[in-house]
Amino acid sequence: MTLALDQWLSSCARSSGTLGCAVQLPGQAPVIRSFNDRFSPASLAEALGCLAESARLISGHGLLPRWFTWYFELGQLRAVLRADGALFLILAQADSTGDRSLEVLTREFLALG
Amino acid sequence: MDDEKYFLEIIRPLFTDWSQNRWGIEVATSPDQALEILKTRPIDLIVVDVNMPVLDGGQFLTLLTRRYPALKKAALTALATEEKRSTCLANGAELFIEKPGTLEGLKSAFAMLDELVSWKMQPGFQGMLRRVGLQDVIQMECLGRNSSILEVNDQTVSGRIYIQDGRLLHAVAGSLTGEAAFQKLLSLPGGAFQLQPFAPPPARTLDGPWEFLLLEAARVHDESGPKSLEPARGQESPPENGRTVRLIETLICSGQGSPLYQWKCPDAASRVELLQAISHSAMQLGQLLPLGNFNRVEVQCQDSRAVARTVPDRLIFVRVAAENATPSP
Repeated sequence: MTLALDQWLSSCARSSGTLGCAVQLPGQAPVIRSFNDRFSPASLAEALGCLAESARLISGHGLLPRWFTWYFELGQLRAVLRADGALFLILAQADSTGDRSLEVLTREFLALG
Repeated sequence: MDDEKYFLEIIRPLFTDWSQNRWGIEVATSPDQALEILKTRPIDLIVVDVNMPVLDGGQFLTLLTRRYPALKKAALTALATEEKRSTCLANGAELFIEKPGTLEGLKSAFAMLDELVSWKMQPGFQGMLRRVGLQDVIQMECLGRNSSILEVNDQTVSGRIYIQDGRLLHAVAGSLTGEAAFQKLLSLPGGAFQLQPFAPPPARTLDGPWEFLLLEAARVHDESGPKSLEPARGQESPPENGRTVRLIETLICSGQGSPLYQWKCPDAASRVELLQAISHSAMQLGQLLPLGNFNRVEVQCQDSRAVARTVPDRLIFVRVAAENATPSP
């Protein structure tokens, strides 16, 4: 994990509507940031593992995702996949501020690669 | 529902007494417990403490409104503010009460709750789009194989959607008809709707499975933002913001994975497998994170975009060609 990526990950808290985020770089331990007490780092880490598995599954069915978003009643969970194998998880509120954060952070994460 | 157990212990016998045993009272100290009770027996009224840890009362009211639209709801708080009041009422509470500190106050609160619980629902159906989604109402009518006319109004447009035996027959919105009208009504950010008894429509302008029509309307709305009221014509929409949208494949299955409708789906068995795996993953994620019900997953690929929706009796997969592979703010 580079310092720039680590600092950027912490700065994600400033994006309104963001509840938590996590990054998994190939061969490294995941880095988790929770910005809301309802979502513990441990549950975000498990969700990251689940999304990594989903990415493999979706790719195995002929779809090569750049990102995919799970829409729930109270929040949305996006996984962004970078060409270098890095995986980024964003958890955001299910409203327009959450929507904006997803788009902004997705673009920033892809640009960091 | 209140995390202060002693308050519940005081309230329960008092309210039972004052109601002369007309009330059967269940108590819960957390949203989880309350949801368990709601699952197992019919409840007329829920009183929710606003200041709860983990999931606050305001958010819990939203969840209740979506899952139990007919349930009457009251919010209770020790620290009443105008902001809390507005939030609770906007999230579906019919009453907002300050937690009483005296016996007289408790009696007064009981009288208000007793009045609320005795309200009778009026025949028919009325609601605000912000509280209950129009899409939800259409789904309920179609899944229940009902026949009705859904009248929708906001400040800019009035429209009607005709549903017969769970099939979407006709839509009209201002001067638009058919899919264009249907999509326009579903893209409204707010307004009011009412279910009216069914009468035959003047024309039949909608065809195909209701799931597909709803997904297509959601897709058009999502992709073009609130201004996108452009009609979808056949399999290809007109350019929007310089982009075109082309349908690549569609698959609709029963909850058990038997294909009910497919269009240009290259390998239905593989898609069913993917949908079932998505359903499983959604369940796992739902258990890990308190996010409420799963709606759909959208997959953005280099050259296409897919939407997978799984509900108990339907698995739906739609893929469109996408020129928008870079997120836009």
